[in-house]
Formats: sequence, C-alpha cells, structure tokens
Amino acid sequence: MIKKRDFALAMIILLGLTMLILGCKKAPEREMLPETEAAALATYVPPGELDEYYMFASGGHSGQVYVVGVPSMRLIRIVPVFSPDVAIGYGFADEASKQMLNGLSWGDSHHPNFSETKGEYDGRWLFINDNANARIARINLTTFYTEEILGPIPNLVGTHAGAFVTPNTEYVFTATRFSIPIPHGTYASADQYKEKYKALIAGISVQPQTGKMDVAWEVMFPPVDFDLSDAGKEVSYGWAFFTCYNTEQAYHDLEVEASQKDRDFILALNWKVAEQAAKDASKFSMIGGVKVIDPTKVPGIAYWVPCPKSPHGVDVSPDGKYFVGGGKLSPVVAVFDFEKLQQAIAAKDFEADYGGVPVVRYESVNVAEVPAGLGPLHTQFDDKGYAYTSLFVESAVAKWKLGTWEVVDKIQVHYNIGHLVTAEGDSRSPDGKYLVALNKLSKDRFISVGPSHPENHQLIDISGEKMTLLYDAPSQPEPHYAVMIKADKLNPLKVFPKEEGRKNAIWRAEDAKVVRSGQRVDVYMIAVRSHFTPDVVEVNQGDEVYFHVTNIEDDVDITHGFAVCLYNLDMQVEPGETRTAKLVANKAGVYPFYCTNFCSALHQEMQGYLLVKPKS
Amino acid sequence: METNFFSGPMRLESRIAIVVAALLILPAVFLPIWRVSLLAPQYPEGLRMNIHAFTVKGDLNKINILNHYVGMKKITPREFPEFRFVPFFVARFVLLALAAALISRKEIGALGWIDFVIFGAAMLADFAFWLYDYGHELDPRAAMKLEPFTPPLFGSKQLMNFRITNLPAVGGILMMIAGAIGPLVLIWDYYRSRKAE
Repeated sequence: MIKKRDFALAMIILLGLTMLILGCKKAPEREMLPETEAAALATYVPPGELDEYYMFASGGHSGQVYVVGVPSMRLIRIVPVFSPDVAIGYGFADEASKQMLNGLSWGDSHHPNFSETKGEYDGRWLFINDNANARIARINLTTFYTEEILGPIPNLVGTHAGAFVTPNTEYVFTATRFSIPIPHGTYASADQYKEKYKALIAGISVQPQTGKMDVAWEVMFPPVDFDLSDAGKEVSYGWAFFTCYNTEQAYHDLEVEASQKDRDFILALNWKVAEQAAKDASKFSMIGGVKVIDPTKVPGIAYWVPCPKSPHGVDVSPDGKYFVGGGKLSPVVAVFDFEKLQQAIAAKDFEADYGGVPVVRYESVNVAEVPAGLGPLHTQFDDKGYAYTSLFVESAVAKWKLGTWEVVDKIQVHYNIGHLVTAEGDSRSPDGKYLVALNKLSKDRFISVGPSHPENHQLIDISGEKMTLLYDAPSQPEPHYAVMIKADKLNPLKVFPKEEGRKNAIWRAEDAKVVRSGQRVDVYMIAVRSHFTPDVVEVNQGDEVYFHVTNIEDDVDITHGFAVCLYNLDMQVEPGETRTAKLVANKAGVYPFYCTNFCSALHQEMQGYLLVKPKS
Repeated sequence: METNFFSGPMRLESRIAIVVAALLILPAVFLPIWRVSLLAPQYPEGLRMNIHAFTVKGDLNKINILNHYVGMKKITPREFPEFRFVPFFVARFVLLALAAALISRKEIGALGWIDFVIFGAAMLADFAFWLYDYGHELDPRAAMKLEPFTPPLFGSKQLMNFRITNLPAVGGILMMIAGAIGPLVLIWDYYRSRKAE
C-alpha cells in the first residue's frame, strides 16, 4: 500500500518535472501571424524584379544623398554631394568634382526636392541644400551625378529652409536658420543681434534647359530663424511659405528664449512680386554682390501669418488650397486657407506688423487646429484627401481628413519621427500607397552596433483605412527628409554616349599619347578590358601630371577604376566617360597604377607603371 | 505537242508570281540577311550581330572586346570586300526578275533563277569560310586558349559561357522564299500548259 503522503510527494515531483520539461521545450520557431506574412509579401521584391518607387533621402551630416528602393527599402546607391567619395574619386582624385566642392569637404544635406513641371515631378533634377555652408546642389537624375553646386550663397548661412521648388522649377528657395550681420565677414557683437543680424530668403533661379542655378534675388527680414518651406501650387501658385521660430529674436539659450511666445509665423512670400521688385533698383540694394530686397519698400511682397508654436514644417495641400503648419511645441496642426489669406490681405485685416511687414490676423486665415498629437512636425498627403502628420514627441503618425479636420487614425513609430514621406506626396497628385517614417531613434529595433545607432526608416502601408507597419529599415546617419518618385518616371543612362569632340577624350588605342609642355604632362589614356593604353608612363620628378582616362566600353556596368600606389589617388570611370586626375610627381621612383573596380576575368592584370625619374 | 519547260512565254499568273519574288528579294538590300546571336548568363538580354548586304550591325563593339580574350580577330565590316558588291548583286536579281515578268520569257526567268541560286550558294560558302577563318585564326598569345572551332553556319553551339546561334534573318528568309517561287512557277506553268492541250 502506498502511503498517502508518499503518493502526494510523488505527484508533486512528477508535476514539477513535467512543468520543467514543457517549459524547456520553447519552440524557437517564428510565429507567422497573417499580418506578418502580408507585410513580408508587401515588401518582398523577388529576384529579377524591381522596386516600384525611388526614395531619395538626405544624408544629413554625411553630406550625401541616399537612394532607396520602395517597397524593398534596400539602399541602392549613395550619391556623393557635399562630401568626397573616395571609392569613385568624387571630390578626391577626380579634378572636376574637386573643383565643384571648392575646398569644403563637408556639407549638411537636409531637404532634397525634385524639379517640377506643372506641379508634377518631372525626373530631371534633384535639388538639395547644405544647411551649414549655404549651398544648393543639383543632381542630374539621368546620370545620378551632382552636376552643380551653387554657393556659399552671399549673405546667407545655416540655410535650413531649402531646397524647395516652385511648380515649374522657376525657383529653388532657401532661407536662413541662423542670422548673421551681412555680408559674410561683417563683424558685430552678439548683443547687437536685433539691430545688426539679418534673416534672409533667397530665390535661386534655374535655367530651364541646363538647370544652371543663380541667385536671382534675396529678401531681408528681422533676425528670426526660418525653418522649412513649401511652394504654393494651383490656387496658391506664385506664393511660397516659410515657417520661422525665434520671433523672440534671441541669440543665446534659444531652447528657452525662443520658446517663449505662443505663436511664431509662417511667412507668405509672393515671389512674383519679388521677381518684379528685383527689376526695380529702388526696391533693392546690392549686398554681397546680390540684389537684396527690403520688403518694407515693396507692399504686397510678404505677409506674416501667426502660427503656433515654434512651427517646423509648412506643407501645401495637393490642390494648393491649404497650407499646414506643424507647431513642434504645440499639440495642434494649424491649417490655413489660402483664399482667406488673400481676403484678409485685400481687407487689410492685420493684427500687427513685425519688422515693417504686416501680420495677418490669425483667426481670419486659420480654418482648423487639428488635434493631431504631441509635437507635430511635418505633413504629407495621399490621393484620397488625407493628410499624414509626423508627431515627434508622441512618436507617432496621425492621419486626418482635409476639409473635415478629423483625426481618423494614428500609428506608433519606433521612435521619435522627424519627417515623413508619402509616394509623390508633395506634388499636385500624390499616389498614396506608401509612407516612410524617418525616425530619429532606433534604440532596440536592430541588432546592436554599440552606442551609435542607425536611424530607423519604417515603411507603412497607407492604402487602406488604417495604417499598417510593414518594415523597419536601418539608415546611415542621417536622413532628415525624403522624397519619393515612381520608378518609371526616371530614365537614367545605361552608359555614357560616345562624344567625338569631347575635351580630353580619346576613343581608340592608336590615339593614346603623352604630351609634355614644360613641367606639365598630359596623359591621354584609354581603359578597356583588360588593359590601360599607355600602361608605362615616364615623367620627371616635380612634373604636374594630368591623367585623362576614357573608358571606351559601351557595355553596361563595365566600370574601370584608376589608382596610383602611394600617391593617394583613386577614381572610377564609367563606360563612355572621361575623367581627369591630377598628380604632382614629387616622389621619385616607380609607382604602379591599376584598375580598382572589378571589370573582367583579367582585372588583376589590368595595371601599369608610373616611372618618376629623379631630378639629377 | 511539246510544251517547253524552260522556254516560251509566261502565263499571267506566273508573271505575277515572279514579280512577287522580286518584291520579296528587295528588302534584303536593306534588312538583315543573317543573324548571329550570343547568349550567356551575364547577358540575359543577348548580344547580336546582324549581317546586312552592305555591313554588319549590332553589338560589334561588345563582341570584339569579348572576343579578344580568346584571340579572335576583330570583326571590322570595312575589311570585308563582299559588302561592296553584294547589295548590287541583290538589286540585280530584283531587276532580272522584273525584266523576266515584263518581257514574259521563261528563259530569262530560268537563267535568273539559276544565277540566284548559284549566288546564294556562293554567299553561304563564303560566310562558312569566314566562320572557319575567324574560329581558326586565333592569336597564339591570347590569354584564354581555345581549341580552334567553327561557329555553325546554321544552328546553335556552346562555346565556353556563350551559346552561339546562327540563323537567317528577315532578308535571308524572304530570299529563300523568293528562291522557292522560281521552280514552283515553272512546274505549275508546265502542268497548266499540259492541261490546256
């Protein structure tokens, strides 16, 4: 007979063992919920197929532009803009781009925007600002090269509010986030901030055929901090809007000082009026070599629209009727009606003036304060009349309806979103479908790479009523803003076309030559699988040697590199391209050169010798 | 009553058929006659050489760069004397056929057809010779050593990572059809004449 006590003990031990065994049998298999499967399918681009959209994201303090495919969220290319890219020789060995960077080896690229025609993205160029050094770069979307860098723009610095493009690429706008005494190089102590320091908006004109940029005119304001901008379109065509904060005009401890007022402004600029004023010498002065317009002398050029509170983004709805202010320290998104602005201006319905420029009455222009959430920053639109606002403090995106102003959905993001982008979201006809949240903090979302974390770009499906999270994609530092264009709108080159008359180019091995002129040596070289011609080059110590390398392939993706050992020189030449690298042969000896970009089965054999004869 | 097979006047239908043959030959003056296609894993879209009466067009540059690894000679259209006279020969056949139809003499048609066939055979032989020559005259110092080979005149062959396919193109096919019309017309004409008796 088993005693009751022993039986109970045996049962307890048995139970304990069972729990232990069951507990240890943790199934390491991933649970595929239907939503997860759907998300995986939505983002998976099978081998051999292509992404639907390009997303161009700013590289922030890397100075570059990131090109990402949507929906796969794969980084396809980093286009060097303001910083050198030694792999391809941009701003490094390649003379042409080195000159374009003009001594600055860094820039802070913030807001890329496409060239537009009739309010639609036309796929010709991408413009982007350099927040630190007051420059605007233009990237050619046929070659994906930075073709032109304008600046430093006279009188401007900290050009955060750029690059924003008008509906027919008449102008690219930028404006100052930091005010300084002008022109550049002028000294005034900081306590003279309110009197001597100036904020400016610059209208950069763009040549329609070539894209060449010029500072057409600037408009000068009291030292507020301009933040972001958007150009009006359709009914609001001819106007541009700029948010600003620090209307308190503080120059130190801005965190506290610039957050005192409940409302700052959105500046409404009539750029057509500015254009006219720039033709009238009585309306502008020449400062720093450019036309600077005094808005107090040009009635109708600009109006301040009050906006809560330290607003960050201003975004114009697809039909141009509304402009939306994201007050980063306020819980509401302030929506303004363009028609009402015009009516208020006509009726001179002003509540004050600021720096001699009228301030329109808030209540007369504001049509809604959408309670989107905490810390609204930036708004984009879809094809069904909805607006999506990023909420930094709340770490979420709010979806609300234009016209009814009701918030219909909210989705958490991970974590602390800055800007967001929807497919073709600030054009006249957004596509809807996808939204990418550019989150500032990724924290625990990826396997750890130490204290420095990547950013987190989250792809969100906005095609349905409710938003759904599809994917987390890490991004290198640090995209601030992005734009998305349908992939078939771009028509990039496959290879560079052969141009018979091109400067420094040679197209046949027979034409390769070394030309000497005093201490200058020009080497006209061809690169083709798998050799350089010439591949033995003799120079004298002290010579200034220019290597003009032409890649005479016409086959796609057959890139050749050109590097010289110990002379710190490397560049890449694409099929059909000619690039020039300069080397001062101050070291005597024998220096091999070779192809650095894998090109063929005999890539290793693609080499040569640079012989530097010593000065006797 | 003897009806001559190769001589005498032509019936209207025969004359029309000969004109059709002439029109079929005409495009071969401009359109490609033969096509060499190369397929490889890294060239999913394929590489092509279109052989016209007057030149070779297509991915010549790419093919020459690839060929140099195995020591094959560069294909330079300028260096083929054939391209200087072939277009005129082809044009001549068109005119001959039209003349036969106009004058309505079977002798001219028959002679023209024999001429055409001999010319066609000669051209194919010539092409075969060039294929043999290019596949055998390989630079002994080439980086990749290949056994001398002959690309097929008609059909496919695998050579290292490339599949080479040689087939008639539009012009070539039309000329073959045109060539078939000649004997068909004669045979048909003969039987019609026989029936008429």
